[in-house]
Order: sequence, then C-alpha cells, then structure tokens
Amino acid sequence: MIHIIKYSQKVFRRNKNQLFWVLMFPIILGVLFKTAFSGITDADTFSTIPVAVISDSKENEEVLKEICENVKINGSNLLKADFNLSEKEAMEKLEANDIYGIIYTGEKLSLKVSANTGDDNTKQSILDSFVAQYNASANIIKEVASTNPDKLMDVMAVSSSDVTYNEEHKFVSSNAENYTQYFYNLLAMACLFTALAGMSVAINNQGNLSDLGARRNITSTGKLKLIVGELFSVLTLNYLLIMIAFAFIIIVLKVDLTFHLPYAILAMFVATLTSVTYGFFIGSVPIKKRGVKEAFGIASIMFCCFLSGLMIGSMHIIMEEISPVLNKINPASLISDSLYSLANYENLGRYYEDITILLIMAVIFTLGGFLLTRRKKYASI
Amino acid sequence: MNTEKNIVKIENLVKRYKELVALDHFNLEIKEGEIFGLLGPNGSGKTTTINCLLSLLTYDKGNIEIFGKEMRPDSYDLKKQIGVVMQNVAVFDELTVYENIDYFCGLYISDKKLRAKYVEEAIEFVGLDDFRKFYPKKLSGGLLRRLNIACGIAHKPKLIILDEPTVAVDPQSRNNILEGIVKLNKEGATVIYTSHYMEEVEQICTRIAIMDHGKNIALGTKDELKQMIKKSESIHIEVPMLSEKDLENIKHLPNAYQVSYDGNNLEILFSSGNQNIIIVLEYFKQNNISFGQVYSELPTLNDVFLEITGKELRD
Repeated sequence: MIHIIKYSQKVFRRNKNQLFWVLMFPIILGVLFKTAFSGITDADTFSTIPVAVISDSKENEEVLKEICENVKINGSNLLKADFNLSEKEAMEKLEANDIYGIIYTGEKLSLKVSANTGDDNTKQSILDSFVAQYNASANIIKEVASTNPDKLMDVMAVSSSDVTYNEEHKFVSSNAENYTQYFYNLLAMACLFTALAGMSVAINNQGNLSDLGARRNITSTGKLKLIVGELFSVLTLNYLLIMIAFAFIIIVLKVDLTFHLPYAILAMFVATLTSVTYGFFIGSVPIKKRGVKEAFGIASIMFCCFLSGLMIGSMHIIMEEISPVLNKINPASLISDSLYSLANYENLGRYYEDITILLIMAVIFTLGGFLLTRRKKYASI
Repeated sequence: MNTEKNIVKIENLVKRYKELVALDHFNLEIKEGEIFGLLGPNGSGKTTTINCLLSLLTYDKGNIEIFGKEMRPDSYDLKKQIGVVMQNVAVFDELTVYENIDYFCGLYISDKKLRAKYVEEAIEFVGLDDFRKFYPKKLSGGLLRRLNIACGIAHKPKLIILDEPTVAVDPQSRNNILEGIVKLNKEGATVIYTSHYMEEVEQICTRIAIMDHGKNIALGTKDELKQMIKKSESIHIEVPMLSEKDLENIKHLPNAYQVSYDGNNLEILFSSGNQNIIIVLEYFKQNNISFGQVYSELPTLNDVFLEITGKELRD
C-alpha cells in the first residue's frame, strides 16, 4: 500500500494540469477578484463632501452648522461646509469642482450642484438626499409643533436618530463583505476541480478505459488496494493544495473570509473528499470514452459553480427562490454556503447541515464508484 | 528446451462481440520453455486471445488454464508468475524510466531489496541504463518500447506474454527486442509472442499457431508449417524473350507445378526437390535462352497463410 501511495503521490505532484486547476487557477482568479473588488471598495470608501452654505439668517446658519457637525458616516463628517463664502465665490468654487454643491438656507433648504460632474454623481446625490431629508424633517417638526406640541420632543428624537443614517449590523463580529461571497465560490470551485484527480484514479484503474488500467488489472495487486491507495493519495495532496490556495487568499490577498478557521479547514476537507469521490464516481461510470467523461466532469463542475454564484453573484439567491432543493444538492453551493454561514452566523446549525449533506454525497459517490469499478472482466477493451 | 508440461491450455474458447465472432472454438496448448508465436493478420483474434487468457475479457464459452489452474480475475498467485507486455505502451508520463519499472515491479514484489535488484537487472536487460532518469516523453519510440518491456518483465515471471511489442519500432530496436526475448527464454521463461510480422515469428519462435478469423488454422514448428503446403521453392528468372513452346516445356520440368510469365519475369513454383535451380538453368543453357537475374526463394509463413486462406498475411 505504501508503494502505491508513494508513487501515486509522485504522479500527482508532477501532473501540471492538476496543479494548475486546483492551485494556480484559484490563486490567479483570487488575485483578479481581489484587484477588481479593491477598485470597487476604494470607490465606495466614503469621503467628506465639501459644500458652501449661503445663509439667509444667523439662526438658520447656526442650526445647519450643528447638523453638519453631527451628521457622520463611518465616523467621518458627511459635510465639510464653508459658511464664509459669498455666493459669487461659491459659484466659482463650484465651477472649479472644489465643492460639490451650494446649500441655500431659508424657508426650506435648497441646493445647487454643478452640471459638470463627469460620470460620478454619487456625492451630488448624497447632497440631494441630505437636503430632502432635512426639509422633510423640518416639515414634520413644524407640523407637530403646531398640532401636537407635547410630542415634539419624541419626534425630534426620531429625526435626530434618522440623520445619523443607518448603521451596518452584523450577525457575528467578522468583517465579511459582500464580495467575499465570490471567494467562497472560488474556493468551492477549487475543491470541485479535485474531482479531475478522482476521475483519473477510476479511469487509470479500469482495464477497458486505459492501457494503464489494463496493465494494472493483470498484476498480482488487487484493484481495491490500488484504488484505495490512490484515492488516499489524491485526497491528501489535493487537500494540501486547497489549503495552500486558502492560505494564499487569506494571508497574501488579505481577504477576511472567516473567524472560524478550524471549522473552515474542516469544511474544505469535507469539500475535497466529496469532490474527489464525485470524480471517482464519474470516472467509474461505464462509458468507454475518456474524453466524454472528462468533458462531463468539467461541465458539471462549472455548472455547479455557476448556480452557486461564481459568475453571477446573485445566482445563489435566485436559485434559492426558484429551486431551493437544487441549492441543497449542489456541492458548490453547499461548500460556499458552509463558509458563508461560518462568517455570518454565530449558530453553526447551517454549517453542520451543509457539511452533513456533503458527507452523505461523499459516501454515495464512494459506494457508487466502488460498485461500478468492482467488475473484474470486461466485455470489450 | 521443450518439455511436455503445459503452461497454458485453452479449450474451445468462444468470444463474440455482438454479431462478430472474434474467437471461434479456439484451442491452444503451450508447453514450458517454448517461445510460442501467435501469427495472424490484424483482426485475426490474437489480442483477444491474450486478453481472455489474462482474464481481462469475458468470453462466451471455453476453459482457460495457466500453470494447470483455472485462470480467473482474482488468481493473484497465477498473475504473480505472468509478465505482460501490452501492444500499447502503458507507462506513467510523470515517472522516470527507473520509477516506472520500480512501480510496476512493486505491484508484484514487495521486498524492497529484491525489487531494487530486479529493477537494475531489467534496466540492464533492455539497455536503458543511460536513460534511467529520463521521462517517457523524452524517449524515442524504440526506447519507449523497451521501457514497456522492462515494466512487464522486471519481476522475473515464468510466463511472459508479448503482444506485438515491435509495432512502430525501428529495425535496430526490433533486433534488440527479439534478441532480448530469446535471452529471457534461455533464462527459463516461457514466452507467448503475438505478431503479424512473419519474419519475427520465424526468427524466434519454436512453435507457431497461425490465426485467422478467430480460428487456429495451422499449428507447428516453422518447418512443420511449411511442409503443410505444396510449395517448397520458387525460382524467379529475368527473361526478356521466352517462346510459348519453352514456357510449356518449363511447366513440365520435374516438380514444377505452377509457372507464370509477364513478358520479362518468370516465376516457377516447385513442390519438392533440392536441385530445381540447376535443372532450370540447364534447360536455359541447352535451349540458348538468354536470361538476367536469377534467384530462389524458400517458402515463408506468408506462403503457408496464403495457401491455406487464399490471402496474404498483411491483407
């Protein structure tokens, strides 16, 4: 058995094709994802919006000053308001894009923004929302003050909490961002690609599928021993590669995937086991053309990854609405969901459910594969 | 070298692929110490016979015994004594020459020291010492075939089956392989050698079975096979001018049974006799017939096949 394991590990280690799909491809794709998503998050990073305020009265100016000091997003002031500019100076700054808008106080706040904004109107939109919300709140307060003055304090409390904007609440103390879902799917894909190695084990041990299979079928070493030894090799080495890819993503790319590292490591072991046995099962199906099996294997992996959201982020949610059962039997969805649930839920129930389904699949694939390969004579070679 | 002990016994073997009968009540006995040749054109059933013999293929009818025991897929004790060199090269591209031989030898021999010794001997036997660290992709076709052979025989089997091991091999490598097979036989192995190259089979095999359409159509030593046919010699003479009368007279020379003339080349087939060429040349001299090149051919296994089946071995 040691002889078989030793040499199958050598064969696997030197198989550049397998190394590429399981190790290099996810690393390359991970770098691309990181680069692409870094651009998005950089663009999304909030910076204070410079504006000019033209006040009609000292009283309104003071109110707006206080609001500007208190309205914050992620700890930064929403507005950096200059109250000391004349309207002419403000217009010059607006045209020069030194400020994003001019807020006029009065009966209502009004806003002037530059038409020369380029493609990004985000800050102008925020200013517009700010002015609209201010006016709406002011109207409500005025209305309540005239009709129900006794409830004025309550209304003001609500209004003041509104202007602090919503804060993001997380289920756990992790820093899971939306784009990390792509990395979960990426890891799921890497795990699923280990199926190709499992498929090779089946094909290279079947006398009617490969010359190597025929040669090994006529040796004095039993087929079961050969297959078990090689599956063990393939599983351990593929798991090692997956762990390297995982480490690269969290250490080199600094993608914060999870705070439950031991559970994530276990999840990926189960994922690799399921994938290798899936490949072994596909390879054992009595179809003689190796190319057909490999094409089916790759196509099914990519289809599973597509349904889990590797290509379209929302696909997993769409599938959850259309056919939740499919999500529960799609190994790619189960793998990414197990990692997602670790990062987003304190309760591990969903994680355990995903892992259990993956393990059941592994058992079915293993038994099926052995049943299909146990045949010792072939009708044709 | 021949003894009476049967190493392989195939009785009444029938193998069908749907409508096609690949082996049609095929019988064979191979004795210890033989180099037994299975000769036949492509598709005659040689490889099917080997695959049935090795329990790789199912068969519809018949019995197969190796070393006196029924051969089954789980006959590991028998398989341990058999070495097989398949028609197609079956080695790992990811392993070096040494590693490939060690791997396949290790599927038979678990003792590391013994295995290391056997691997070294196999490398030396096939002459791959300078290539032991080479990967198969770096080897020429001939060297790759030698590696294929080394992987099949490294564990020193008592029965070696070589299924067309010289296909697509250059003449020098082919000679090396054939010499090696004879050497293995001299060291005590019984050899089954399948080929559609009659020259190879004639060169090394002690006994030959000629196959066609899944049947054993002739069996014996090469001399016994050649004695089965009428032709014992053919004489070819370059003759620019030959009259009808002379042609008729030549047909009546002693032992001549078939004469053909195309206006320049004359071919005469003789059924027996060992001085036929002298008789022919004497006739030419007496009748002042000028002639060019003359050569004589003894019957080949192709002639045997041609006479029995009416077609060439390589048709």
